[in-house]
Amino acid sequence: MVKKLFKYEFRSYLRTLIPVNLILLAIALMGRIVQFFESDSIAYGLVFGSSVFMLCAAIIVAYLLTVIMVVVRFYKNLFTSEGYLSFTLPVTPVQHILTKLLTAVLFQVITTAAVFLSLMIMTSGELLVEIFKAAGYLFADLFSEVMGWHLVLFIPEYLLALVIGVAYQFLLYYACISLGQRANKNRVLMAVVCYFAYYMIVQVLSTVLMVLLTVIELDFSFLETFFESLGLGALHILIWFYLIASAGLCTLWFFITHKTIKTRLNLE
Amino acid sequence: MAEYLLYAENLVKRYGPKVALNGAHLRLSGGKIIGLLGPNGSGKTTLIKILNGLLTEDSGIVLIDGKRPGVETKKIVAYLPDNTYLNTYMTVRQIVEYFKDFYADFREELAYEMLSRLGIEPELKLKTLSKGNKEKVCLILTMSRNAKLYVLDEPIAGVDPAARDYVIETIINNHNPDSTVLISTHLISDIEQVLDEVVFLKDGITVLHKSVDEIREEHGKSVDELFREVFRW
Repeated sequence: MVKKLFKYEFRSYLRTLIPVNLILLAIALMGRIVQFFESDSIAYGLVFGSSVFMLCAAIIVAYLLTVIMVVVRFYKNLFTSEGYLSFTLPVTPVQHILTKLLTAVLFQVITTAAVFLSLMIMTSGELLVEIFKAAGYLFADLFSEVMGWHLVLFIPEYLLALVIGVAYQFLLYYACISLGQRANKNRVLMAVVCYFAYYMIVQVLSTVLMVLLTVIELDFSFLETFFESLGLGALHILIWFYLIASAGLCTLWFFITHKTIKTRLNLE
Repeated sequence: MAEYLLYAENLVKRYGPKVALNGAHLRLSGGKIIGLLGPNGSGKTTLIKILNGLLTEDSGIVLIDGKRPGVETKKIVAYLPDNTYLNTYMTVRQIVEYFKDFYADFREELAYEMLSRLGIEPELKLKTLSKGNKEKVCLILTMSRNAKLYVLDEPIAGVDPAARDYVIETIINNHNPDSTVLISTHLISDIEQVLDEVVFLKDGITVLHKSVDEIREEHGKSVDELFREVFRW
């Protein structure tokens, strides 16, 4: 069933996001063509400047539309009239949520790949080749001089952190939309309120924590000694701390979404 | 409980201060066509949504073929909501494929046969169809399933008399004879002749559940006449 759900989910994203990504690539291509007429004239400067501006705008729009698509698709497919069909399919809420999350993350990756490709086109690859070269030298230096085999671990850890970060954000949207559904009226508004309330709580808690740490003046020198003794291994600990904390929050958002759909579904 | 295809007991559902269901019950066996009758706001749609797992009851119990609403019951229940729920960017063929993909009991050939009788082209986008044809496509999709229980919410409300005949005919001719069909409506005279049993729902309470023959013998009235008597303002 997950395979079938994924097929239809993928198709619905494809309809919206593939044209957006194609437009992004077309803008990059136009920007590249403009460069063939390079000159010192003001007109060229204006046209080139505009093409760079358009590409930047297209990149922002592509990412923005991906996020909008993730939110709208989840809400519309589950909590509007389409939900009458979605929730009468012989499919569990877990399968619904996971399929939607998987497709959303996949399309974020596709959009990132399109952005990357558009930059390659715009710079004819030259800039990126230089960046890659520089990164290559840097990595080689880091590998041989400083990090050694730690680097081999840092790359997958960093990629994992990126994916979990995206999943965390999307699951947070899902949880807020689901919480909004618990209200009797103004459910979309309640979802938005939940989202901002969460960020306000995080802000307040982190401010309180910072103030407390300053006031109490705890002695953290033992941590310093501990991390110093570990050397680069300390970085792995920090990354894994982030990964575990994010995964924990992902589980919480998933649990809230699932619980609402499973036990508090109230389609209007 | 086990002898009933559908068993619902003491169902209560509130929307804020408003009580939609106030202890409703329903006990249906297989192979019957049952009318779920009641005026607007009597709780018919709420009850049907609970049976389909689209609403969560505040209290009470629902068992379909001995199971709580979930994946297993959704495999055997074909549901027609009272609104169009189709994703309108799809073509008719794509939505038929969708049903075929998800429901093992979906009869694709029957669906295309019914669509062709109506002259609905499979390549048409759903958004290009008229409201009436969209509703008919929904009905065709539902009745093309070889389900154990069909739950049809107001299938004849808002359609012209000729279309009503088409809807009723489609239901009668295409449901599996061993299955149960639960039809919610307040347009009783149009549907009375096809019903085996009726359930009257009033203010969220089941006030009557009898066979149509019993009503005629005991009350000497048609279902329509009894309905007007029970629900008189």
